Amino acid sequence: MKRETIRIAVIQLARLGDTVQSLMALRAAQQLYPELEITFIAHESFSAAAEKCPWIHKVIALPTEDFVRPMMMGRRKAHSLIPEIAAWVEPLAERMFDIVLNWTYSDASSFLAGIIPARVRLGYSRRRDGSLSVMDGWSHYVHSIVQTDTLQSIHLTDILTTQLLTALQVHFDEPLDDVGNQSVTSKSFFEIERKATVCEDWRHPGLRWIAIQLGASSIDKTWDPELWAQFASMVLRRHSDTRVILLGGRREKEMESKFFEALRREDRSAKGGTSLLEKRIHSKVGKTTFDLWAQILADAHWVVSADTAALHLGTVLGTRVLNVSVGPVRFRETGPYGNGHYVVKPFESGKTLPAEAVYAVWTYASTEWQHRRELSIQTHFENLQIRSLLPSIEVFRSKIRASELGGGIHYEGLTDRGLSMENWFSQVLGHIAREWYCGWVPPVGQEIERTDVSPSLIQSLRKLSDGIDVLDKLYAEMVRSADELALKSRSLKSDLLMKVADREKISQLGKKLEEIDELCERVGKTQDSLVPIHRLSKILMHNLTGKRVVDVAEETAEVYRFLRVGLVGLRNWTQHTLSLARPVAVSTAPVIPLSEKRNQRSPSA
Amino acid sequence: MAKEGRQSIEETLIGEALTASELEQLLIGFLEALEREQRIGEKA
Repeated sequence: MKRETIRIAVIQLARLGDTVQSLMALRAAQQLYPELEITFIAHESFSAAAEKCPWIHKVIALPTEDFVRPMMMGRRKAHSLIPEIAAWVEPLAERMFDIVLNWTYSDASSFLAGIIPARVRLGYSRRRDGSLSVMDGWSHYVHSIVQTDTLQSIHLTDILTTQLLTALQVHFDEPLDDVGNQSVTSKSFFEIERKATVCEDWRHPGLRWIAIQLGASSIDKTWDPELWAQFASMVLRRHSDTRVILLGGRREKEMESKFFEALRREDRSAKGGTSLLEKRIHSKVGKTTFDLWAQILADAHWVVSADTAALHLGTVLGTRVLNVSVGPVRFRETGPYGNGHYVVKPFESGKTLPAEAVYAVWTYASTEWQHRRELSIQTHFENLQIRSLLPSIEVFRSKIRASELGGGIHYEGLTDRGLSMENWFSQVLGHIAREWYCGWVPPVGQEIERTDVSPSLIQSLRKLSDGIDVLDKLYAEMVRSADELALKSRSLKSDLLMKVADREKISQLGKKLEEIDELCERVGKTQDSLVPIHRLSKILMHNLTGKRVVDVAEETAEVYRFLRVGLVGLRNWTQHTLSLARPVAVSTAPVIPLSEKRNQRSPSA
Repeated sequence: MAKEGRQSIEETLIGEALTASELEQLLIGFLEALEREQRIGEKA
């Protein structure tokens, strides 16, 4: 039976990397809900990716520069641009959408989300009076945790997919159940015009092409071009079947020059002239259209990149990715999505990531079929005689979890490191969020090994355990008082006219709630791991919708019941991790007394 | 997705269309915020 069309408008006004992540989430949702009719709204400069997706119904490009540049130059005020912006918005306002999905999570996009008529709004929006409205659970999570300095472990693609799928199930229908485990990534994700050849030897069957994307979204996330050159030099010198293709935008032209200068220095045979290695490198920096870029990323054997859109595009197109994660990047949220991708990063942020280490990780990853991961990365580094580099780096391998283990992506650590409190909490938060917003959780403590638990983690967890107990008692008191207030105000005929005794009781309960709130604030701020939960409480309370006392009281009780679910999760994880650290009795082999043993000997012995 | 997750979604039904002045304020808010974000992006 044909299902009714569901019209959704997706606002993605961030950069290309976010656009590709949104497209992945949409593709996953559309495989389960083929009736989705998607209108995708993006900045003109980043809309090419969406325009190449044949399964997107319509792409609306925002000519950002046309609107913003005159204001930045002081030539026009926002007010005078209303006729133009209204004309741009008009096609979006003609018919009501079933869902407006704001996946930008920014200030500007929230205004647009408030303007587009829709039955359901997800993500940040604006109320009629212009105030910010954050209505759905996952958006609360993004607001209070993802967009703060708290580490969390759920990948953005998973957040977006789950947010949309939950809304579709709640408001529309169950997903199709005969789609099986379709992969979102594929070489045909985009419909691109392919060139017959990219460069000489591109299609040579005996060669492996490594695509290196220079640059990143910001300077602090960029790996030095000299290090890129050292990496390329190692790959080319030691693996005669490899070629390198350099990628980047026009902004990366300077990096490209620095790369080649460094490469010539690396290659002593160059003697100031052209390096021999250079002949095995083809540069497309500043020379690619979206189609050509996507073709290269799809055909290459490996994509090696810092935090760029190429990393996401590579994974979407089914190419293996090595993410050189430098600078203030949270790879667990924005790293390469899919199975078998690698992330290498400095152990201490701000430290240089050596090219030898990146090379070693690439060789480990690209020979997986030989060693079948029976060889540890430690032994691999030892074989390359660079084991001394291991303490300064961290290496992760991506893996999609089975749905019965919670689904989503997990980055498995390959370098033995004790778990820091911050990383422990990021895993716990992921678990709690799934309990809050999906109503289902994988087993507590999965992916934590006994060897991960260090003495300092135990110390921090013991302290946290006390904090959880105190906060839970306060939240329980908050629920009781809010319930009492709801009960009392429900019995009143009016919120304005009441007996003096009733007014006093209500005022007393209101004061009590305020006092508990103050105490919650104090306790919530005492420990880093309690801060995000406290922050979420503020956002939930800010977004209460009730107008009458009874409604507000009921919603308040609901908010604190909800938060207590999180505290239960936090307590379970704390107890589980502490239990891992307890000494375990070693089972002894049965001891046979010597005399018995002697008796067992044959008489002739 | 489990049924309990449904509680986490809030529905916003638009009862009435925005008035002209409400729409105008939201459009101005949109443009001004876009400009701010562009400036921050260029600095980075």
